[in-house]
Amino acid sequence: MRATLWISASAGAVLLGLALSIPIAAQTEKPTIFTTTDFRQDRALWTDSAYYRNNTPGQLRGMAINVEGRRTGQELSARPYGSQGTGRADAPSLKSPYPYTNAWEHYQVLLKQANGGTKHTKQTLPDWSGHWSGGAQFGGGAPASSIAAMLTPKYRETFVQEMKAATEGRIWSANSICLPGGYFDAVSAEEFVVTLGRVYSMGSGNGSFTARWIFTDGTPHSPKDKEFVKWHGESIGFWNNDELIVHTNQIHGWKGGPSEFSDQLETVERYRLVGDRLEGEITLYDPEVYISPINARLRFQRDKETAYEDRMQFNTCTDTNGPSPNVYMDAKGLLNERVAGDPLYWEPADTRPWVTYLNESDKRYKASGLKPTARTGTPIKK
Amino acid sequence: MTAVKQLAFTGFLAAALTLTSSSTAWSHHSHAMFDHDKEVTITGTVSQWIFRNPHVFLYVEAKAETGDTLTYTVEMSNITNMLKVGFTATTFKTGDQVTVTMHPLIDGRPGGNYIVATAGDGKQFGRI
Repeated sequence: MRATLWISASAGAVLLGLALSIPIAAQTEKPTIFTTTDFRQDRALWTDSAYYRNNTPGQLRGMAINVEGRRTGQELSARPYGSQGTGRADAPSLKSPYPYTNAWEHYQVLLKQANGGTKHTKQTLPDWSGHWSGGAQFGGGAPASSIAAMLTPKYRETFVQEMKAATEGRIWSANSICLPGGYFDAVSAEEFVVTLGRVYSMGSGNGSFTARWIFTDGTPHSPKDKEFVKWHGESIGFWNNDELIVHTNQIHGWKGGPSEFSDQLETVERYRLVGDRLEGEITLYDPEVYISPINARLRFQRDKETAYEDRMQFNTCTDTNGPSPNVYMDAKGLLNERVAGDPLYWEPADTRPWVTYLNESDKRYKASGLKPTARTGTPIKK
Repeated sequence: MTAVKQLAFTGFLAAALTLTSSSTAWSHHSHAMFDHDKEVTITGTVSQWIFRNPHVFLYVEAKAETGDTLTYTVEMSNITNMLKVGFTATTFKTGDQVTVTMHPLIDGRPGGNYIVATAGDGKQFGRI
């Protein structure tokens, strides 16, 4: 009797447990960016690192290649689709530590601290000659959730959409279709030419060339009626002994840095030579895109010796990619120009072409029925 | 998306495809269009050696499994990276023999992403 009761009770408990546990498990298993059927329904999870399986943005983009352990080129950062990431919970915070609400206020405080700036002579200017590699480091290995958390709702949604598309091999980048890289490409300079009254910085990308002119002669920004957005903005600066402080405004909104940015972006940069490193920081103010100002470390390393093939050079992306389709030879052999509505017309007024791409890509990808899965090929040891 | 933007986007995609067919690839793009789980080796004749940025291209006439001779478009890295592994502007000329291993395009068209190559004189070129 006792045995019968025990068996009945046990069976009942098992059945009850099954009845309870299966639905509970199904209900409590939260979707991830890899399992969701509609990422827009997961807004509450977008700032949770578990939603991205703790992957960094770079690791999520690496899944576009969807292999493991390969040794060359983009395979170095490739990862199998859906794999667990290594986002660091202790990564530097993106949130600016400064109390300023805008870049100009920030810049003015630094200018005041420098008593109006140091007046250098040719003999006292810092020596920043040589070839450098580096740039801004946003978040330093933080999971994608830490970037999402810094974005206002409209841009957070695009960020998550972009991350999801990237894991599925659907990636938009400006340089890939010969559009300008934008402001943050120019921040990653390779050479700095320091002169009295002007600092020039240059970079030679594989498909583009960047240049900035930083006015340190005490002249202000262009007056309001002369302002317009420029790909690398307009920069003025001053020296505080050996430290260069730069304010940049009139920046063309685009993609880059931690996410994308609007025409409202203004920045404050600080650079100082420490041995063979240029070190400093950049603070980003863009209330349209960031929920609060963002701060990141700037770090450049000077080459001990520059190989011939690493010398600066001028490149143009269209060299092997072809020209713009908007100006062309028509069927009569005449020079002609495509206009809105024409086949092959490129829409210059589309200020966020990556959103246009992502929305169309989402539709086509869904219609195609493709499903991403981790590749099963044998990893090649590095 | 507005009608104008829809049309513009269609145009953009078409333009991209046009550029793809005439000049083969975009620069700085993800390599997601290549199958990194497969390696294909072809031996054939160089028809063009384009030593330019943003990508160096090698065009090779080679026989496919069907027996047809196809022009394979081998996308390589930028000039700086190519110089580092021993390629130069004069490595190949039209008519040279070459063997190339590549990750093929996923959609099966004759082309891929460079892995290694051996020139007709036996000189070997490694991974980027």
